[in-house]
Amino acid sequence: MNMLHIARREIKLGFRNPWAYSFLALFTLFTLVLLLIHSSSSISGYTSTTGSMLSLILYLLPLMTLLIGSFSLTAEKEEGSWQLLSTYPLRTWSFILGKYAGLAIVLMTVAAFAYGVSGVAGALAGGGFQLRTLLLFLVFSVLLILLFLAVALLIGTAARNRWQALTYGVAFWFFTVIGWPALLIAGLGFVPYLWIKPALIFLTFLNPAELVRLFVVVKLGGGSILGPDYYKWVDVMSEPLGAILFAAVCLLWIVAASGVSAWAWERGRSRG
Amino acid sequence: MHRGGSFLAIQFNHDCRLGRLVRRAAVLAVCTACLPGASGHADSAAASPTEIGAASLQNRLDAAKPGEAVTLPPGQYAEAIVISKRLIVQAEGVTLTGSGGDAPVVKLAAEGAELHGMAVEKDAAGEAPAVLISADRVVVDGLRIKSRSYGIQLRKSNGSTIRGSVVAPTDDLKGKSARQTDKRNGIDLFQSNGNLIQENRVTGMFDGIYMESSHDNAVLSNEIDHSRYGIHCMYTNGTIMRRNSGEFNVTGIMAMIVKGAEVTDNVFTRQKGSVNSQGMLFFDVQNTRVAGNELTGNRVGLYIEMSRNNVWEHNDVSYNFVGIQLLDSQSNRLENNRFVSNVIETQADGSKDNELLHNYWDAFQGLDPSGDGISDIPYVMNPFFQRLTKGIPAYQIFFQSPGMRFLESLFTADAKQWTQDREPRMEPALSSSASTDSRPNPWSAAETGIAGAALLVAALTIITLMGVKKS
Repeated sequence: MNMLHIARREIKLGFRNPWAYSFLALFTLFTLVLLLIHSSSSISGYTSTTGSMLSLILYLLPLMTLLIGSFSLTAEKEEGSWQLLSTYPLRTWSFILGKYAGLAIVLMTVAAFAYGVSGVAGALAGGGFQLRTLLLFLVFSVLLILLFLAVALLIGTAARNRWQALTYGVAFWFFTVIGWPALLIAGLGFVPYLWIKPALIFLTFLNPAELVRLFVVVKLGGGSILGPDYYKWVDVMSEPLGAILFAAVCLLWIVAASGVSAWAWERGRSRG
Repeated sequence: MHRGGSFLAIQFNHDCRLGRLVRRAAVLAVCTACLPGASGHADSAAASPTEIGAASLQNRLDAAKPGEAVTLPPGQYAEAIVISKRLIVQAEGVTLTGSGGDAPVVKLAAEGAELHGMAVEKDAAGEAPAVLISADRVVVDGLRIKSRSYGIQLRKSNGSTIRGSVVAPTDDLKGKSARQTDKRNGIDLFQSNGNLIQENRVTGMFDGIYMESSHDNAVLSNEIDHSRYGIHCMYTNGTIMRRNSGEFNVTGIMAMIVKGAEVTDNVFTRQKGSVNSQGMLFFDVQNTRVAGNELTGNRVGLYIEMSRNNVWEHNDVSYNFVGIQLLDSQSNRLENNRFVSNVIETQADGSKDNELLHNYWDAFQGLDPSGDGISDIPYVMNPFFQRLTKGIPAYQIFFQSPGMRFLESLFTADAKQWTQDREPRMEPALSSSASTDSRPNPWSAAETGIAGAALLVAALTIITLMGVKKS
C-alpha cells in the first residue's frame, strides 16, 4: 500500500462521483458560451474575451477544486475508510500525497475536457482561441487547481464533516476571489501610504487566485496595465526567470499546505 | 519577443536598402570617373566646373547662381554644407557625414532652397540636428537621415515642405528606447508655421514629429515606429494630422495645450509595451476634431484629460486594455465611435457635461424595444476604479480582478452623476477595420483544433481507463 495505490483509488472514486461530472458539464458549458459570445474574431493577447475567460475560470475552478478536494478528505473520516486505511502499513505522507495526486488528475481531466471541447468547437466554427492562448488558459487552470487543491486538503483536514468543509471552502473562495479587493482596500486604509504597495505585494503572494491571475495577465502581454508601480515586477515576470520564480512560489505554497495537512493527519492517527 | 523580432526585421530591411543605395552610389561614382565628359548631367557640369574637385561640395554650391539647379556627384563626403542661396540641389547617391563636430551636417538657410535625395549621417552627439532648416519655403525631399541627435529641425521656418524622407538613429542606438535626456527627435519644429510634413518615415527616435509653438502645420501620411511619441504637439494651433500611422511607440499622438487641430484617419496600433503608453493622449485640447482614427491593441486607446469643446467621432477603438479614459473634461461630443473587445471599455471621472451619443460598446447589453438600433438604456461609466487608482496607484494591481467588478457594482448610489452615453448603439456604426488583422488564419484554427482534440482524447482516456473500467 503506497502513494500510487491511494492516487489510483482517488481517481476511481473521483470519476464515480457525480460532482465531478456536474462540474465538468458546467465548466464546459460556460467555456463554450463565452466562446460563442465572442465568436466574431480569433482570440489572442489580453482582450475582453481573454479577460472574461480569466474571470470565469477564477469564479468556477477554485470553488470546484475546494469542494471536491475537501469533501474527498472529510468523506474518509465520515465513512470510516481512514480508520481502515490507517491499519495498513501506509505512511500518512503517502496518504496525503496520493490524495493530492489523484484529485489533481481528476480535476485536470475536467479542465482538459472543457478546453478540448472549446478548442475543437472554435476550430470547427472557424474562430476561437489561438493555440498559445488556449494553452495559457490550460496552464492557468492547472495552476489554480494545484494551488487551491493544497488549500482544499487543509480545509478537509480541519473540517469534521462535509458541511463544515462546505462552509470553510466557500468562505475561503469568497475571501480570495470575490471579497479580496474590498478586504484589502478597507484594511489598507489604516496603513501609512508608503506601506500600501509593499503590503499589497506581500498579500498578493498569500492569495493563490490573485497570484495566478497576475502571472497570466503578464504572460498574455497585459503587464503594462498595472502601471508604473509594478513595472519591475512585470519585467521580471515576463522573463524565463519569472516563470521559474513563480513555479518556486507555487511549489512552496503546495508543500506548505499539504505539509500542514499531513502533520495534522499524522497527529490524529498517532493519538487514535 | 515579438516586438524585438519585428524591429530587427525593420532594421534589416533598412540596412538592405541602405546597402543598395551605397552600391548604386559607388557604381555611379565609377561611371562618372571613367567618362568625365559624358556624366549625363550637362547642366550640373556647367554649373560646377570639374577643376574645383569632388572633395568640396560647398565650393560647387558657392559657385552656383541663385535659382540654379545643382546636381552633386554621387559619393561619400566628410563635410558639412550650407545652402545659403535659392538653389535646387539634386543629391541622389550623395552621402554626407559632416565634419565631425556637433554642428548641422546640412543647413538650409535660404528662402526657397531645395534639397533632394541626399543621405545625411550625423554621428556626433549633442544638440545640433543632421539637417537644419532656418528659412521659409524650403523643400527637402527623399532624404535618408541617420542621426545621433535630431534628424530634421525647423527653426522659424514657414511654408516649408518635408517629404518622403527617412529618419533613423545611428546603428548602435537602434532598438534602444530614447531617454528623456536624449534630445533626438525625428522632425522637430519650433516657431515654424504652415509647413507640410508628408510621407516621411521615422523609426527609433525620441519623438517622431515634434511641434512646439508652431501653428497651422499639416502632418500627412507619415509612419512612425519604435519612438517615444509618434506625433507630439505642444502649444500648437490649427495642426492637421491626417492618415499617419504608427506602432510600438509609447504614444501615437500626444497633444498638449492644443487648439483647433484636426486628427483624422490615423492608425496607431500595438502601443502597449510601456506603462505609460496610449494610442492618443489629449491634455488641455480645445476645438479639435478627432475622427476616423483606428486605435487597436494599445494600453489605453484614447486618453482625454482637461479638454473642452472637442469632437470625437467615428473612431475605432478596439482590443486595447482600456478603451477610453475621460477625465475632468467638459463640453465634448463623442459620437458614433466603436469600442470593441477592450478589456475595460471606459474609465471616466469628472466628465459630466459631455455629449456622448450613438457609440457602440460591445460589452454593453442594451435594450431596444422600438427597433431603431438605439438602446433605451443608457451606458453609464462607473468611476470607482478610476478614483481608487488615482488616489493610490498601487491599487492598479486589481485591474480586472473579479472581486473588483463585485466591489464596483456595490457603489452605484450616485450613478446619476456619472458620465454616460444616453443613446448607445446596438450595432457598430462603421464596419470594423480592425477585423482584417484579427481574422484567424486557417492554420491557427487547425492547430487549436488538433490540440483541442488531443486534450479531449486524453481526458476521455483517463476517465474510461482509470475511472469507469473495473480493475
